[in-house]
Amino acid sequence: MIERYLNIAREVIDLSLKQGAEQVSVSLANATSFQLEVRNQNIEALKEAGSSGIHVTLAKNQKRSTLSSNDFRLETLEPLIRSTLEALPLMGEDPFYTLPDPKLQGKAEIDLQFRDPNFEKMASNEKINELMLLEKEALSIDSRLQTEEISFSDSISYMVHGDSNGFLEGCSKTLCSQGVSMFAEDGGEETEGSSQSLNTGRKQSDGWYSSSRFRKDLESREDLARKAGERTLRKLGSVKPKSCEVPVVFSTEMAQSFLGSLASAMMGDNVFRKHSFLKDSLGETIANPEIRLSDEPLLPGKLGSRHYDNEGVKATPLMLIDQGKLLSFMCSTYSANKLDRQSTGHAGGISNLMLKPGNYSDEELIASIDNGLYLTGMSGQGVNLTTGDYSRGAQGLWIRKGKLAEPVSEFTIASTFPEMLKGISMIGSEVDERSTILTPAFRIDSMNISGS
Amino acid sequence: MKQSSFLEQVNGSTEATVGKVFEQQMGIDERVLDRLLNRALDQGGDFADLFFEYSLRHSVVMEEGIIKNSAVAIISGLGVRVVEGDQTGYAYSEDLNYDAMLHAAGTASAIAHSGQVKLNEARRFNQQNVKNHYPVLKTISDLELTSKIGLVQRAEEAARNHDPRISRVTVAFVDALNLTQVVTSEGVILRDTRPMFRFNVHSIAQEGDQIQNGTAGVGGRVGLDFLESTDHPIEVGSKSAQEAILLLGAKQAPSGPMPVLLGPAQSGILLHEAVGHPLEADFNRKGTSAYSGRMGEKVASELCTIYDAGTVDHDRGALNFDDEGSLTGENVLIERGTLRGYMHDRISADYYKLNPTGNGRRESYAHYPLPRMTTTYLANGDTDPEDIIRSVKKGVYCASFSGGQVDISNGDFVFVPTTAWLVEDGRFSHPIKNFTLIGNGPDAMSKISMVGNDFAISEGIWTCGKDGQSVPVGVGLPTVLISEMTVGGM
Repeated sequence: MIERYLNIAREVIDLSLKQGAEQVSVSLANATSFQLEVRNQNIEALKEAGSSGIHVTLAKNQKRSTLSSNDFRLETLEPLIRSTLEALPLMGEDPFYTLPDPKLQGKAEIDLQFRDPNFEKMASNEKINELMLLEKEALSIDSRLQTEEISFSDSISYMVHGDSNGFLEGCSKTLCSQGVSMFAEDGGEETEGSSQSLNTGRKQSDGWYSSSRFRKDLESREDLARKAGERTLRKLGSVKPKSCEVPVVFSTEMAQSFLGSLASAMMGDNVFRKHSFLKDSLGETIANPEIRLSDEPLLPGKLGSRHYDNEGVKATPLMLIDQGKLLSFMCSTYSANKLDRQSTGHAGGISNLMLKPGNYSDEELIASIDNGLYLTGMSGQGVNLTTGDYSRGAQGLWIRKGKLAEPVSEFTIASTFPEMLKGISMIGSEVDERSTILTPAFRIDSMNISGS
Repeated sequence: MKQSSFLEQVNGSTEATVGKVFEQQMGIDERVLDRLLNRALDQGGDFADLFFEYSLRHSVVMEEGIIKNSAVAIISGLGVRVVEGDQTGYAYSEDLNYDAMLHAAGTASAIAHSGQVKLNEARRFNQQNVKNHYPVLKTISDLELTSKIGLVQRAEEAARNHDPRISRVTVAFVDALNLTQVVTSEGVILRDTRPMFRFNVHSIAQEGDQIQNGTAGVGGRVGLDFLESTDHPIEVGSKSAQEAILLLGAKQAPSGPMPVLLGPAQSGILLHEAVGHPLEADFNRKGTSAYSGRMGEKVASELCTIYDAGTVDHDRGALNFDDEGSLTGENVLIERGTLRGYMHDRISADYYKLNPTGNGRRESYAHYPLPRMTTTYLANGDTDPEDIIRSVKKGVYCASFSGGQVDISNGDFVFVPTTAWLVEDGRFSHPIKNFTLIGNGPDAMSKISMVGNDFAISEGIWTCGKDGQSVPVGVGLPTVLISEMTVGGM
């Protein structure tokens, strides 16, 4: 498969150059995936398919134009290449668009363990049986639990990137995920004002999933079921908290969400566009000195690992924040040119964003708070990277005297990135490995809660 | 010059165009369709359908005063679905040659195990012609690239010239044409050409160390006449700049429960989140929605009559038929506060023993249909919007939004205003920024205490995501007062 795609990439580059392009870059991808959903011991959906895409950028005289298709045949691509080249003279000159410096390109020499050697060995029937057992296990935890969806998916993908600098590489990766989504009725206790409330059909839902390049690394059936059940049940009877200002513990998943937004503000593309509150902060202390944040592309088996970025720039670890000080932005070739720096190998975004773990268990983070919030869910688009303002819909568990108490929902939390970064005072030690953002939970000293 | 020389033949009736591409150019005739459907059902199954798609998409982007890129994308594929009860088998092929399509049909067939193969050797195909809710004489895709660039430059200039504090402007012009053919095992063939246009301007205003964003857009299933009807580039360009400048002068929003005024059109996003998603029938069939089993019950204030309709001409949410071949219509969801109907696809309609409502939609051939919204709106009221604003002692007025989200199971939803004002003593006091509105669906809908007579449909800019599938949708609403909702400022 890879050989075939390398050949197509070569042909497209040659053809484009022959037709008059000065710079060409080509990316091809193909993924074959299998998805299964089970509910009430019944297969709800079974989907199996392969999808592909080719993306070509052509440039001449500092002008560029792009084309994409899911049809790799040269007879389809040739007229597209021709019409794309014809469009080029109409584009504006952009001196900042270049291919990467060839000296920066290459493949890091390390086995990143992209592929499960046993990928093909599990038959559909086994996957179906496993989900049936997983559902039984989850339903056996508590009679209030009902199934929303039990799911399994796996995929094998092939990717090739090449350009007219002479870079040409390919790789293939496997990925497996298994998840449980449950719900339960939440009609229970009469609350104040409930006599006239129309809010009678309330339910709570939650779940848990596991995701890995290797099937053997997926969490056990028992763990998946238990976590999904606990997370659903702990939301029952949730109330709206009073407006106040309190410390907040960001669970690992919420920490991932927050750091994901922070990473966007560190992307060169957002910095030169002034879409980032950090645009003028390089070299400054922006966070609590305990914070050390880096991008780590070369961790074997981790979901964000890579040998080179989307432009073929060789991957290397990059320190972003050390002792609270902002040390670098993450740049592609274009944003690096714009900011007058060198590409850091971040065309396509972060690899594995890693917050250095601290020494506290989640229990200790919670125990440090007399009155506050353990945040487990956020919703909405209230993240403003330009201004650094942060206002989100929220869900969680209230913390009273160092212990988790009643579930809370239908409120918002608000602050700003600078305040939050300085307010991270305790960092947990348990990292959630299911994401390309590897972070433990942490405590932020104060946030605004808007509720009743 | 055009961005691609493909599709010279897109003239004449939409059905004929689609027929020409799939049948004459690709050789997918009724004999082929029949074989594919027979293969899909050869293990059993209640029904099967084929979803053919051939789409062409163009875009032009201007940034920093430079036309930075033009892009063209051509995507094609076939999705094959086999349904037995509420079970779905699905496969797709991007290769539209016979063997590849047959393989996909065989893969999808694996879901069925009843073994009750209905011998349907005499399947008769019937090509249906349906009312076109987005007739287009000339598509925007036919426009010369130089003309598109001209429009983009005009909008950029309008934004820049609006105010010297506008420091950056980005303009995007995106047009697409989607040739769709749905074929069901009952023998129905439906063909459609679906145009889509989106024009968007993003401005950044800077004053001292303060920076604010403004965005504005228009779009829909429209043709060239839409571009000729008004000076959209000037309007959209200025509007995005206006928003950024307005926010430079905005103060922090208040915090806590208070009356919330929703301006016309864009505020329809309230309905999309608060009642729209929870009334998609799949959530109710599975029992996960806060509205499950509550048909005929009061779920909103009596001032609320809410529809979802795929029939709003040229709207972004419009569809002549949905992505599984059911005709769209104007469906009542809530009538004077009482729950009247869910939005169905074929599977949920079969489950509830009702007719499909034309809400079975999918992102592309690579996805199976789910119950989705088309254009969701609240019927006009009879109060003068000025009177509604005057009635508020202290609250917030929201005019435009960046989006929203809902938790189906407990009904909690958020939506995020971009331009808003504090209202004091019945008057606009000052613009406010940085906040989220949070409420609970049935609760918020019961607190709608006034409905204006200024109904409007939002500009066609909304995209809805569910289960990893994105589809274009529309919303509409007159001015509305929610007597109390939680405002999450600082």
